[in-house]
This record gives sequence, structure tokens and C-alpha cells, in this order.
Amino acid sequence: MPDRLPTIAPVTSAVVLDHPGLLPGALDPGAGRRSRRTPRDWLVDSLAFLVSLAWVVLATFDAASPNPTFADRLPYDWMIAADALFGQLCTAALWLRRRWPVGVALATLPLAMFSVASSIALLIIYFTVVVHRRTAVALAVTGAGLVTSFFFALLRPDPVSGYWISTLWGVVITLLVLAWGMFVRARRQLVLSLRERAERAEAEQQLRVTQARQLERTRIAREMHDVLAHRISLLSLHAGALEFRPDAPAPEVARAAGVIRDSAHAALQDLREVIGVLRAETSLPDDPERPQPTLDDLPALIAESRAAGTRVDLREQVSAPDRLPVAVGRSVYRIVQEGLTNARKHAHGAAVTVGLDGGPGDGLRVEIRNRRPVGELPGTAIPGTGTGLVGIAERVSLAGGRMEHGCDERGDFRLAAWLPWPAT
Amino acid sequence: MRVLIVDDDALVRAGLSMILGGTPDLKVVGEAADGSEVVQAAAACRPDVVLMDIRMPRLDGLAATEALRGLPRPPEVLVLTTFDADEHVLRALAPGPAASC
Repeated sequence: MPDRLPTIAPVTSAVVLDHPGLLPGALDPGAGRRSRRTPRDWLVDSLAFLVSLAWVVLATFDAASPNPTFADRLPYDWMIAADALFGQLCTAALWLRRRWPVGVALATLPLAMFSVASSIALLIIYFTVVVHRRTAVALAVTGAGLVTSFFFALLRPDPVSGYWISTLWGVVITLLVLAWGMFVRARRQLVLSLRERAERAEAEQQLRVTQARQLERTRIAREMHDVLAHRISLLSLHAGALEFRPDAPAPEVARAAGVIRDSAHAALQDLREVIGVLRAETSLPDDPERPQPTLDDLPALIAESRAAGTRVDLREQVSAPDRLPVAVGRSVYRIVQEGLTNARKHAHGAAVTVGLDGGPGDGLRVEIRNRRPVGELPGTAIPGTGTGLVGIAERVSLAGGRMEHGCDERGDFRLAAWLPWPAT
Repeated sequence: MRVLIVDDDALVRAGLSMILGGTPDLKVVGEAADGSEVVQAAAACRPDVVLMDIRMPRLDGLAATEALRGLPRPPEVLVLTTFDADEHVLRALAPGPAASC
């Protein structure tokens, strides 16, 4: 029967990258919020550093020459040395610009008023702000940068062109970098939004597949139920015929008995298939040959848990446990199993207390309590709990019982359930 | 009392015949394997009561019951079903069979 179930191909991620190292860190799908440099980032940063350093050397030699080309000769030699130092500092700051784009930009902004040697580094830092920060922030920094252009042309006059031409050049270069940076930013955002859309589509598809499987299973189970119901009604009908007609001719009696036997046989076959479908639903690696557990299997379960390293204390005060309905015993087993699994998963090493009490007419109470492991703050949510507990809650409510779980005032995690146990 | 048994499963018809056969004042006068055969069979053997299955391949028991109601002297209809789905029973009662069990 399971071969009738729809099979799904293993779902691959929508984002398959041949060379993730070629992406900027901002686009690296594997990176967290504080992303590390990708190989491509290292390459870009090293190039930026080298280019900026080369410019510092070039600008310093030029400034020290008798007739500088970039700006008029400075009045004092220490000013040339200072400019070279500023240039080197800004070049070094390039390594920090990805982490604190705005901070580095604001700290170095005053240099834009007079430093020739820093100019390439400053443009790179400014470019980083435009690419990595909101447009409002980028425009604010741009405004401040434009203001410095007016001072720069005044403090470091160009040997050839006049004040306004020099200022205009500063403005044009700033705006060009702005346009380039915004283009890069827009492109990256587009890539991110497309990727997000692809991932969402993939998630939705997976959900649809799951729902389809679920629907199919439900449909198969319903079909089986119908078939089974028909067989059992046939069985009942012919048994009734035998009961009402003890005088029937021998061939008719034999035929009715034959129908009963065949129906019972086929019904058993159907039941086996129903179980197959239901079992395929859960991903538990349950041994299909293993009989359903009862209350008597509880000590074995606890021994298993102890063998796995959990300290378990069982306090059992059940009167007439041999009169416990099998279904209730099974539910108790499953509840304890879930409680121990949770304790092992989320409070490894903590001692677990399993309490069982009750009797016929009184109902059966089961409680699993575990101390929060040392070092964990009380009140923090336990991650990952829920799915197993949902199943247990469903089971308990189907049995007509109650269940609660959560942390008590001492911070212990507690899973408690009450199951009805009729007196008769 | 003359009885017509309508069910697509021959085993069900046989079982019902066997049960009814033991009752002196009941006589199974005919069988039909589908709703589409009911009107013809009813006209041929003029039953007092029709035992009608709901689920049948071509014409279901409910439609067949409605068809029977259109006859000049319609027989009483007993609807048989293993499915206790309410909407089936309610729909079965709407065209007016005598009982549903």
C-alpha cells in the first residue's frame, strides 16, 4: 500500500551557487547579519588598500616636488608630512569601512577639506556608505561631502584652474561616486528580492506537496474505511442469516459461512493496509513488528532512558494497575516517552521525576517533571518543544483527558496529564 | 408481502434473501443489481417493499427511490446503508422512503 503514496523528490535549495566566494558578503546567502568577508571582498579590499596607498605615495611625492600638479605647494614641509600621515591613516581605515561605514566616513570627513593624499581613500569610504546604508544616510553624507568641496578648493587651490572650476570638479566627482554606489545598491537589492521570492516560492511549493500528501493519505484511509465497512457489514449480514435461519439448506449455510470466512480474511488484510498508511504518516522509526506498548512496558522504557544517561525517578501509586484499560496504559506510555525525550533533548543531565497515581473511577494522573539544567536562566523558552507535545495533547484529548505543560514557579518543566479510568 | 432487493453486491442480496427466506409471510420476488434496473424490476414483479442500497455504480439508491415514487402505485422503500453519514440519510428521507436503516 505505501507504494500508492505520492513520492517527492528531495527538495534542493532555490539558491545554488557555483562560486559563492565571488559574491559580495552582503549577498552571501550563508552569511549572518555580521557577515564575514568573502574571498571576493578580500580581493576588493586589498585592491582598494593598494590603490589608496599608491595614491598616498604619489600625492606625497607630488606635494614635495618644487612644482606640484595636484595642488599649490604647501607653505611648510611638516604639512606635507601630515598630509601623508592622514593619507596612510585613511588607507588603513579602509579595512574598517565595511563594519562601520558611517562612523569611518564621519571620522574622516574633515580631512576632505584639505587632504590630497587621503582623497582616494575618502572616496572609497564614501562609496561604501552609499552602497551599504539607507538612501537618507547616503544623501546626508553626500551633503556634508559637497560642503567640504568648497573648503578644499579654498584651502588647496589648484595650480591651473580657478576656485569655482576646482569646486565644480569636487562636486562632480562626489556625485559620480554617488550615482555609481546607488546603482550597485539597487542591483544588490534586486538580487536579494529575487532570491527571497525564489525561496518563498520554494517554501510554498513544499507546503503544497505536504498538504497534497496529507490529503492523499486521508483519501486513501477513507477509501479503506469504506471497503472495510462493507466487508464487515457483509460478515454481519451473513452471520445474522445463519442466526435467523438454522433451518436453511446445507448449501446455503455453507455459502454463508464461506462469505463470513472470506470477509473476515479480507477485512484483516484491509486493516493491515490501513495501519500501513497511518504508520507512514509518522516519521517515527517504529518497528512495525513490535506490539503496541502498555503500562507494563513502562519500567523497560525508564530503564532505556537511564541507560542513555538520564537520571529518572519513578513514583508509582496506582491501585489495581492490572485493571487499567489497555488504551489508557498505551497513552500513559506515550506521554512518559515524550516527557523523557523532551527532558533528554532540552534539559540534558537534569534529573527527571515520573509520577503515576490513580485508580479505577479516579482516573490516572501522570506527571513528568525535570529540573532546569544548571546555568540556564529560568523563564527562557525551551526551543523545539511543541510538535511532540501537540501529538500528545491530541492523544489525551481523544481519550477524554486533560493535559498541561509548562514551567512552574521554581522554573521546573512539568508535563502533566489526567486520563479517565472508569470504575467498571 | 412481496419484497424486491436492490444491491450491487450479489453476496449482500444472497444474505438478505437467506434471512428473509425464513419468514413465511415474506417473499423475495426479485433482485436488481443497480438503481437503473429498479423501475423495470418493480414494474415486472410489483413488490410491496423495496430494500434499497444507497451506493450503487450507475444510479444510486436515492435517485432510484425518487424514480419509484413516480410510479402509479409506488412500493414502500427501505433504504439500507452501512454509512451513517447524516447527509446521506437526510437526502434519503427527503424523497420519502418509509424508513432508513
